[in-house]
Amino acid sequence: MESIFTALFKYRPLLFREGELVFGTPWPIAAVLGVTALVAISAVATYGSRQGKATAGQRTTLATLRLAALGVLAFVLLQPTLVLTSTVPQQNFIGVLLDDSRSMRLPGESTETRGDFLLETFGPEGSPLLSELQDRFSVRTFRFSGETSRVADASELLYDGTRTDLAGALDRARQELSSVPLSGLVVLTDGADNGGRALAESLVPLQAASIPVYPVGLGDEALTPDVQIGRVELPRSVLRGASLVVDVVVNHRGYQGETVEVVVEDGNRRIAQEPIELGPNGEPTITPVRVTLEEPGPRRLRFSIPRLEGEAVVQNNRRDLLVEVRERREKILYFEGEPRHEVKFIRRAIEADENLQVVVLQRTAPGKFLRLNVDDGDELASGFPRTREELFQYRALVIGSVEAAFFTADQLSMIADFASRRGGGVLFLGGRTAFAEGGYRGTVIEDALPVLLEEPARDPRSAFTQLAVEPTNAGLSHPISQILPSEPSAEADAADATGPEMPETLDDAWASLPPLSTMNRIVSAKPGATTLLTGSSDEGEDRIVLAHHRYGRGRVIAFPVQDSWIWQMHSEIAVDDPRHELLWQQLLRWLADGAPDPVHVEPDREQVEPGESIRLRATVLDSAYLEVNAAEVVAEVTDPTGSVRTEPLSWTVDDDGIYEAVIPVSANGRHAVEVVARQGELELGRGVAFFQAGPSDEEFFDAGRRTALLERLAEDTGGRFYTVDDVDQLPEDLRFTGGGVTLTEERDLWDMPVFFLLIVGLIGAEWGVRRLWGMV
Amino acid sequence: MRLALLGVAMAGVGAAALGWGALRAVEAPGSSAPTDALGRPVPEREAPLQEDPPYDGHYQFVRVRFDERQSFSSFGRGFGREPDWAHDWPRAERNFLTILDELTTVSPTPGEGKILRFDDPEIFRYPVAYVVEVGSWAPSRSEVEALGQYLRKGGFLIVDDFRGAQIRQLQAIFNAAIPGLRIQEVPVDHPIFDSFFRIEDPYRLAPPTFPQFTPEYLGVFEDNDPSGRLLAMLNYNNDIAEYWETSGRGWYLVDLENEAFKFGVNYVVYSMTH
Repeated sequence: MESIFTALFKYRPLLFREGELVFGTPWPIAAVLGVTALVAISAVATYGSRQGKATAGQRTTLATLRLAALGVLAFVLLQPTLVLTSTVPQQNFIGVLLDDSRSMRLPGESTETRGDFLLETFGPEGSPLLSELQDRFSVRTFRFSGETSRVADASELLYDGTRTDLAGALDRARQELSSVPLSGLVVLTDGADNGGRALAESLVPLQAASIPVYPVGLGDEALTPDVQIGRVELPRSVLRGASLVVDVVVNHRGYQGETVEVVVEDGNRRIAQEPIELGPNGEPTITPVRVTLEEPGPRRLRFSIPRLEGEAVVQNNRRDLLVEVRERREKILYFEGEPRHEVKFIRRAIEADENLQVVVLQRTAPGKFLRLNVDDGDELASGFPRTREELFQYRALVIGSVEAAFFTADQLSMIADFASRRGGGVLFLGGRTAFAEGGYRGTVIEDALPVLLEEPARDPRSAFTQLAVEPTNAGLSHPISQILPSEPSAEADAADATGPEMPETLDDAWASLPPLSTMNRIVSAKPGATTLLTGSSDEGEDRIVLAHHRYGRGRVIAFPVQDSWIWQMHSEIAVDDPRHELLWQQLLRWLADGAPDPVHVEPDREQVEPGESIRLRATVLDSAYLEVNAAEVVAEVTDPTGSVRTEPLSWTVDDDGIYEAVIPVSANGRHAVEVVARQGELELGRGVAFFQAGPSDEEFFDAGRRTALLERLAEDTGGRFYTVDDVDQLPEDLRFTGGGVTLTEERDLWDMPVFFLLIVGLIGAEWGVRRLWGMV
Repeated sequence: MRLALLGVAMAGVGAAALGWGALRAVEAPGSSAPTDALGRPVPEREAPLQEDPPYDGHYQFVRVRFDERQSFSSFGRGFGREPDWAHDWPRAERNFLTILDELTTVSPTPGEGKILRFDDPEIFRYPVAYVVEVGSWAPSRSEVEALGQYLRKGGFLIVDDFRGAQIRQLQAIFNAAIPGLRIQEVPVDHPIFDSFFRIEDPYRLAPPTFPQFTPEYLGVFEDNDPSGRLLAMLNYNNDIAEYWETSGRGWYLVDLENEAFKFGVNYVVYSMTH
């Protein structure tokens, strides 16, 4: 298409976009237009005065053709000229950035590998493209992957970079060439930017300095056939024994309808596997995989798909993720306003879970409390906590059937703050004095709840409703709802010989549970809340049974039933049926999971190359979870050899309570970070994190050419995007669009072939029409 | 002070219970006079408040009904006497529930409770059950199996008003329900004696009847582990419901009636937390 344009208009479209149209006629423009007008009038007059046998319409057509030919001729006589700004030869520089990452080993479009194209064009033997560039510019060549450095030519490239930091490469080249007139930066890459930095940050200084970027995209947009583990989201730390439902995203091309198996391994031990049927080409398939982590400490989990026949890339069939499995007891406060069976059965459900400590505070009479599982005699001695420091020591909070009037206004705020500020989980249970029936409408708790409170029932006993419970679609894939044991126990097998059999599917496990009852009519969840369980009353009304939402830093769950213990006690439930236990263990674990400690630290990424640096970011709060800016924060980094280095973290100033440090990494392997924060003599807390140093396969994920990203890069900087097919246009484009030292250049347009064709065509058309109508 | 208030409250409640029953007596449809769970005519002042209250999620006093073992002694008791499982019913329940409602936040379903057999699946909706006179308890195979499941799932059984050799029958029933389950002593420092009231010396409560027997507080524990969950509490050689039934009539010392109520309250609160 562009070649047709160039044949007609003499120059490529780019020059017309970049240039300015002027008229170079030596005669006055008015004179040219005047003469043209006279000729035109005479032509019209000729057609108008000689009636002949022609109709008015025919005469109008012929006059129009004649006038059009005259117009084109007049335009040519004006000598149209294109004024262009072009770079001065040999006075400007260009930076050529060559991608040196591992993805350059993947197949190229015209060459065996993408790297081969770099060697052909920018190798020591040169190429027409390089010669053309060198004729006009001083060329400076860089290699880049995770780091950027100068090279003489492409023969120095090793293609072993485990990351592509495009933003860093642009920054480095711009800075290095800042003292010379720079016409532009040419980037040869597949665009697989995974440096972790926002590319837009690097574009701003390029735009300010008017430095265009000319990306040359390498490789095909899609590798076929190929399957890859697209994305796996795993929390950085979980409680030991946690049952996680991990959404594994699988992308593929060329394997539609095939069934593959997603395998999860912890070290050498296979801990889960899930078959998945691949959907249409290019569409991601998401499968929830249930994983239980029993080994404490930092664990490296591998999610993989076995190699398929004919796969283009096999390195993207696996993903390794680091997760810290915490061996600790999550302390949960359960405050119950009345003695009821729910307390007993919740305690029984979690008694085998060594990682949960449920401290029960039960009001047995007005002003009288029963405390269970407290650490010492002072704990909760005065009843429900009256200070944030006392309440925030727990990592989750369960509020049973207790009326709002029991609490002071500050205590109600503390409960809301427990989620919003402390980041803990709060679970509200149903009961005769819970939700609206407990007087919570109009309180801060109503704001915190994930459900809408209806008018309370006038007669509480009439509010009693039985609900057949079922999970929603969101519930079926949520960790709370996984009530099927991952491995049936021998004890359960033996017991089930005389009792009802355990269902085999999760759907059946829920469908076969008996109804529960509620005293609280909850029918609507708030916008943004997720409903996991619903219930249907005898009258057919749909109720919400379990819903949650994020509230500030934490989460709030509503579970407005009063007798979940029925799922343990009911006559149709087998003695060793684990569903009630699993539900409560998972519910309380999920409630407490993610509740931050006052001091916690996170690396900016979990995988780093030796020789690179990693940024540590610590959050420092006091016991009331208020940000502390004047703390002394120190990180101890232990490398795989056991050597420890100490690095101070500095307050960022921009954010309260946030401290950062950049740590250089030299050794391969797992590194442990422990951050200690002190304020004077007082230790505010400690936080632990882990990261892995070593090469990664990140380069092989989404390894197709990212055309959209590269086009945006060119568009935002005033450059142009190329592929290997049209990169030969680059030298000329650079000449007219590049920055640096420039001069003005004029190009004649009067001799464009299109003018000749138009004049001949219009006159020929007039003659042809007259002949057609019998006028000649 | 609290004990004094308790005494006044209990005495008042006992008296009030008599009048309350009279005021709220209901009649079975189609009959001229109300009848009890045994089919006997009920004096108006002792008519049930509500017949067989449905499950409502609240604590409900459940009395276990059973078939009696035929023995020489039972034959000798003569005709017309109430069945063994029904001793002290319904006044004991009514008075106890009133006390429980007044003193605690339990909020039980008012009335005189429910009467259920162990082979009735409905009993699994009520994790606390009460049974008396177990010497004549002759459970069927299905009742024994249900008892075993009830206890293992989390149910709690209060056994009252039995003495002497009757314990052998109870031990046999427990053994049939959960093989190997042993009846053991419940020490005085067990949490059940401190779950609501602090009962320093449970042996201060003298038996209201059969004074020749010395009371003992026995129990069966999960896996026979005395530090584990208490599955059943046995008032051996004692009869605390006798005190509940006669509360406010002046038959026994108020102090003893108060003590008996304390045991019941503690048992219920304990069963709801352990």
